[in-house]
Amino acid sequence: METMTDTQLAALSQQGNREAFGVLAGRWDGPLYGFLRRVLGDDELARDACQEALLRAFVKLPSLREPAAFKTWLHTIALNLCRDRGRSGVLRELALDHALADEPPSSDATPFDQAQHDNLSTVLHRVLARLPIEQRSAIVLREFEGFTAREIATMTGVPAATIRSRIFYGLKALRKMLPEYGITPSHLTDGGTVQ
Amino acid sequence: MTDRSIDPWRDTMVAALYGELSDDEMREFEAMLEEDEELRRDWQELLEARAGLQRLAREDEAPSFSFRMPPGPAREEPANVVPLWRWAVASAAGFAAAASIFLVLILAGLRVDRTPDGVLVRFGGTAGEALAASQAVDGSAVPMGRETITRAEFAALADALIGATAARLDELERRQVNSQAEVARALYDALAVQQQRQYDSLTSQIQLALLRGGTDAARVGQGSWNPALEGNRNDTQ
Repeated sequence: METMTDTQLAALSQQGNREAFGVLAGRWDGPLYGFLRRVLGDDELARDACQEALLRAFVKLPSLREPAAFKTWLHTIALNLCRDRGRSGVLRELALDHALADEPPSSDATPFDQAQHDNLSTVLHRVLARLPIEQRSAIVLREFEGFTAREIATMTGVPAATIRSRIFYGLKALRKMLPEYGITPSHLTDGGTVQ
Repeated sequence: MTDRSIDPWRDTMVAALYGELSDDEMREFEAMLEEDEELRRDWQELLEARAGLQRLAREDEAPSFSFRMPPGPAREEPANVVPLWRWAVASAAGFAAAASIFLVLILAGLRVDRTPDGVLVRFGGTAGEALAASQAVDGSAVPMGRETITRAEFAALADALIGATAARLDELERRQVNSQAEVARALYDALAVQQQRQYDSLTSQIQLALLRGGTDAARVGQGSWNPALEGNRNDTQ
């Protein structure tokens, strides 16, 4: 069963085969968690959302018309969960927490503060989390998950041109925020750390 | 606000950034970049932002996550779960069937009479006639009007009736036990999931509290150094 494709496993799962879904979920829980972590900007929220997304997938799988579209379908479920959490205000509270914890280091910063700010991946995560969720999700789906603008448009129900617009303005905003954290283009290209 | 429209060249720019243009379209776009300085500046910004994301994709080590499959049969074995209403209907149907058979036997003339020798089961006729007939015949056969039944057949019928009733009662009892077991199992599973969630939530709160405690300690102590941060510190040098 481990050697089966996602399409085969999805088709078996649709017939009620729990083992097939277990293999399928084990194949996707990691990537889906990574996706949700980037969109939601919080590990714990992402963990809950990932569990819920896969549970929803398990329950709703019989309604999936094309098992070959499992990846897109699963990400659509996850994206809808992100929207739900966005509407509930959880993300706004989280963004406020991050903003408070994310002020640029002062001159009398402790080693801990400095270390936190010097970790480039952490900073890039923070910058990404500051984007509006529509721009953030479009960028993450395109950049990290490999979906085309047309596929993202289908998932989100907006025109592909709108998706490209979100990516354009999102990337521009992200680039504009980087200097606030002491990140220059050289840090991004030559593997250097933040000064 | 996030859905401002962009001009066709910016639209093309995003497609170019992710390699979605044909060779001809790419050449046309590059020619446009040569002519338009503002377009070139936007292009450069997008390239730099994307370089940051690509670096994030390379270096980001997300904590692992494993999906917890819900315990117990959730969907594929609904036949084993007998709803209470179905059990009640089945029981009622069983009693109705038994009552119908009894009614048919009564209408057919089944009679059970007491005689000096015991009990007489027969179809039609009166007790006197049957008694006279039974006295006229020697042996184990008991004539009952035009129908007769031997004692052995009567015993066999009685055994069969008792056996069928016992089997039916066993079946009903087994279904009821299964139904109760399913309910108990579902309750147990729900409790287990709830307990796991509470445990996860508590663990994350403790970790968060410990992390915040560490931050405060570092701020207060100034000179104290957390060895766990040594790796991050080395990255900056």
